[in-house]
Amino acid sequence: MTIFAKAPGPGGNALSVKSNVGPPLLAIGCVLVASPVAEATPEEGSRFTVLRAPDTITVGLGAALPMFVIYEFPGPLANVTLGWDIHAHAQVVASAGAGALHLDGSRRYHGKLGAGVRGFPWRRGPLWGQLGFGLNGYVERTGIVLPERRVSATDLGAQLTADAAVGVAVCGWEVAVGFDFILVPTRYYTSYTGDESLPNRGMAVAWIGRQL
Amino acid sequence: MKSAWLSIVLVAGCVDYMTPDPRDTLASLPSDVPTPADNPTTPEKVALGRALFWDPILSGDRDVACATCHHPDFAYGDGLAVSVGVGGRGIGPVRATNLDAPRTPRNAQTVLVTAFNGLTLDGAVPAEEAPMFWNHRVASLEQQVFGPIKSDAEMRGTSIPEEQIVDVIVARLAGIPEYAVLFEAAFGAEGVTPSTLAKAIAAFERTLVPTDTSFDRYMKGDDDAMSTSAIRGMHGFIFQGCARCHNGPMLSDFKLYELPIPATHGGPEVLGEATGKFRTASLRMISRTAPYGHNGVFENLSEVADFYHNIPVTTPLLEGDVEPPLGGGDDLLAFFEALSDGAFDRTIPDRVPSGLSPGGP
Repeated sequence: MTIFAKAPGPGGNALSVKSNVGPPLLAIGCVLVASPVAEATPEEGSRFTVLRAPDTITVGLGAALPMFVIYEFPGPLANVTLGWDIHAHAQVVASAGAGALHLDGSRRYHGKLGAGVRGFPWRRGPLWGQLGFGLNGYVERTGIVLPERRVSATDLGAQLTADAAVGVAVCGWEVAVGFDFILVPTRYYTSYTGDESLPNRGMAVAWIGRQL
Repeated sequence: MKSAWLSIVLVAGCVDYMTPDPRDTLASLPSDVPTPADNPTTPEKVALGRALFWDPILSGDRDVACATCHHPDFAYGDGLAVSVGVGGRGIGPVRATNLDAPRTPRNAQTVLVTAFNGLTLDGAVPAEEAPMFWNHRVASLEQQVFGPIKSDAEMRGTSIPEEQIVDVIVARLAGIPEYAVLFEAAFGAEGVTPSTLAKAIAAFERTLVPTDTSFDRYMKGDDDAMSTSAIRGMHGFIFQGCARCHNGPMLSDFKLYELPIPATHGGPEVLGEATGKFRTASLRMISRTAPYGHNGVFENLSEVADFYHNIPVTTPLLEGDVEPPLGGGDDLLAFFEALSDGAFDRTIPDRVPSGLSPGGP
């Protein structure tokens, strides 16, 4: 398992287009690097190799229920979660996910990198709970056909989330639900002061996973 | 970096376009201002109309001008929930500090863009039939002029009866040599009459049309005129049903509706009638014309969005999904700003022919 941590070039990080996400990304990286089981060795200046393979790999399919993106229509979600045992009752986990949200005239593709700690009340028991952080980036395209012209826009953005999830794992399958609470929203979500103001919103997620 | 952008464009290219119902569409403003056949706009009429618009001599007690409640500092509104005409001092919210002054029953709408009142997706109405006031009680800018002049709370006061006030004002104007010259330049031998008084003010008001807003420039082909957020807001605006009523070039269907607008705001004071039918407000210059609603009960656009989000579904008008997108309020505000960023005439004259203070004391 190799994690690339390329130094940003002169043009900066693409994810900084809409939000200042450099520090959060660094923090997530630090969680992995500082993990007692993820011994990292500098290699070629900016490349790190995690020496130990994950103890669990889980792939999942589910749904994302946006509570601030495009009008609360759920969309498909796929994710993969890697876990490294650090204790009989705990794992460090890293995850990656992708999904899409769609409604008439607007489509959003989102991808997420996350890291956190998963705890098991019983030793490797079926129940688990997880806390962590996530970096959610998206690209969204909006289109409207009006008599006067065709309207379109492409938007890039990212937000930092605090994530919580609970799940049950039985016989290699798991069912989980979670909520990604927006800590740092996309930059222009700042002026509306009404009922729906951020950052009191996030995205609910639910998935069924299979441990490989 | 190039390949990253290419990937994004390829992914983003997979999108369908929303095609709104033909009655829910939006459009830019036309460049030609409609004018009545008997009152073509001329520079002389505009100059006279500007002087009259700013001159408190049009009020019974010489203390209120049109510009008092339609001031350029407030985008030709007054920034008040409901206006304070006679008995007030200053402009804007400071006028509300005199609690003894009577309140008008309605929020003062901006004069900006009223030259296009009645313009809908069905086309323009003749300028002689353009609907005026919140309840469309008169037609044309010319007829609108007499409403505030005759209103005791707005301009007339109580010292002169309603049926006499216009004649009194005409007599006052005729007695001021500078006005006599201006009227002659604008209307020739017709001189100072109620009709020429109204025509001059209407001619000036037809010049109060802002330059193209970001929305207009975008609609006319400037791809960079609107921000991504504003376009997302426009999408949400149409998708969620706002454009069922706020449509066309004026973002108003110019129809009358009854909505459960709250009657009071933050206290026992009643701010205007809360019942009755009022027209769909135009959203042109909307970001500059707070507060909102026929009684000004909404202090800002976020409150308006919340009202529609939480409104009980009690009428066929509102059945369905008339609500702002969750968390998309910022996009809506960006869209409203794109409807409001046109430049407009902010000239405040140094003096008016009567010698009174322009705009009132």
